[in-house]
Amino acid sequence: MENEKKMITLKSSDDVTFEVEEAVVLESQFLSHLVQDCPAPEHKIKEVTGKILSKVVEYCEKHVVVVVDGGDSSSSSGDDLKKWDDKFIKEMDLSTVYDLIAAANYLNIQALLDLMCQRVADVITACKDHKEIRETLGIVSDYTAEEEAEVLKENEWAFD
Amino acid sequence: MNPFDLIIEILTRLPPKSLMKFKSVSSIWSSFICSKYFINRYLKASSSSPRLYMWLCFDNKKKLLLSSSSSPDLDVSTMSSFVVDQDLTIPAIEGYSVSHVCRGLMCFTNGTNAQIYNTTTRQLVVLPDIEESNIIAKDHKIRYHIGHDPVHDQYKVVCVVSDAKPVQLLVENSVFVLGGGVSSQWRKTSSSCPPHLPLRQRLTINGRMYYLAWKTSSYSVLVSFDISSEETRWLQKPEDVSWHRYHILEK
Repeated sequence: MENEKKMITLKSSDDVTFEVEEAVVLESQFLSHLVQDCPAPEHKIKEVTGKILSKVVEYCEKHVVVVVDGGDSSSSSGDDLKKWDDKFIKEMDLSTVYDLIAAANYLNIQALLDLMCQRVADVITACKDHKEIRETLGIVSDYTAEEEAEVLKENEWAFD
Repeated sequence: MNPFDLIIEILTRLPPKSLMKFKSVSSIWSSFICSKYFINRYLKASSSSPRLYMWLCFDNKKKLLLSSSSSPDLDVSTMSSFVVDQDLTIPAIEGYSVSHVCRGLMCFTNGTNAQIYNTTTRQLVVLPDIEESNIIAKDHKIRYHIGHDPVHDQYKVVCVVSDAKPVQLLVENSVFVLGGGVSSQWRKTSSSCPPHLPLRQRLTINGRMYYLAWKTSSYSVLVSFDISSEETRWLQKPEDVSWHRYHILEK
């Protein structure tokens, strides 16, 4: 068994480099195919900036499944991981969340994608009315005053 | 996934209330949320957490319609995490009783009247009366059932009108397609079905509605109605079996 862990360097679109263990890279379906097909020591990811890639690496390092000698296959217990996830997304602004959704989608990291989509859904759910949703997501209404009054009346129950 | 799928991925995680607020944001979002494609995706996403509906009557007058989402933490012995998170009560349920629910669409009946209540959008559709019928003026029984036609992706209300006379059983099927606008009418199904007297209990599996019925006063049959083709069939039962008391069981 090899004791030395294989390291891989990831380079962002703006040339920020991250040296990570191979196991961390394998959290991404896209990158695991890439390192298998092309065994170079460095991989450039043109679609993701350094700022976002650092978040992706942080997430994957925390979530990586480390196989220890006893065969126990979890690096952190489920509760701890959930707390860590909550903290991870808590301070993040929506524009970072959007960028992370795009990155998680591109790199094919399903758990990160789920976490980020749920974050946006939670932000929308916390909005008290349609006006707050518009402000939060930067949506411009195309309703006339009459149309808006009508649609609000139809869905009155949702605004209790 | 393309950006469109990512938006769906986010919106399917919203509870109904937030989704209805989102509908009020702009007409583009409203038509997207009301589109068949989105509705089916939303149904699929929410099917992983089925809902429990409760219909409560107090002194046969005051009625409550409540709903609870199933929780993975639900402890059946204590029901500790059993939380009613939706109060679906509306004034229109006064005098009605719930016949059944199909994909969040609830069928209320009161004698010969029926209305369909969408538990997600809280829209109510009062179904018109059946006009074209040969037996409805007589002493008849009406049974309504709502089902989904998987072939045309349509929701249909099936109405079985039956009349039991000492010498003859009469039965007529009519169909009402939901989502067709205000001019929608009941339509009599073209396929003829052998006379029978439907019983109350029924269920739908894979686009077919099944119910038990009397063929004669002492002989019962299992009837199947295909919601897409609108054909009625009788299913065989073992000859030596006598159905005295029976139930249709869902898996």
